[in-house]
Amino acid sequence: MKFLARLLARFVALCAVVTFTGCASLEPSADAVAVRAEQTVATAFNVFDAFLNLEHANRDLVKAKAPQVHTFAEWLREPVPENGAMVPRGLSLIQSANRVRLAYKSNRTPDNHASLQAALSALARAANETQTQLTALQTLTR
Amino acid sequence: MAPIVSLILANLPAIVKSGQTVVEFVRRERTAMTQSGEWTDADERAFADLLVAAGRSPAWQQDK
Repeated sequence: MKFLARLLARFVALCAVVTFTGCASLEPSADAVAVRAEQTVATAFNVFDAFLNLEHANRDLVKAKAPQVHTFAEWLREPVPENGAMVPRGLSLIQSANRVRLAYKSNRTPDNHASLQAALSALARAANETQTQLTALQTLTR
Repeated sequence: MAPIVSLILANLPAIVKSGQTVVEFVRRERTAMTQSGEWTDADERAFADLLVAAGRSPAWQQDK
């Protein structure tokens, strides 16, 4: 019963959010694919940055109480090769998708569109996992 | 279907699992959703600068 009540509360919250959240209409000259790609890379950066900053601010607590969250943060921070330099994996994921996005913006071919969708899907998966870890972290630090 | 709805549906498992992220998730997404046109050159530069700054931030560095 308690579970059903919580589920109902979440559903109501979801309906309220959906009802009262509007999306800006696009300018006639804007390409929806390009705009969505810009939103995706920006949102992914925001999620990574929020998670890593909160984890950094509570690093000792996280290591002690939620080592799996710390392990994930270290995975996101791990330096990986990116365009001739070593950068944190999270940034590499964003920069990689960003390059594909810029290639699409300069040459909007079906091939570049397909590459962009694949790059954004990979980035969205990482951002979703980070969002889950961020939620666990927020619960821990609340 | 409105983009925000499909976005929520795509992320519903994670949102329901966490229980408290619906509003936060949408609040974060809404900022991006208010964008009405493609990024200008200045927007592109600002985003690139953001990435460079993050790369230098201690929060993005692994444990020593």
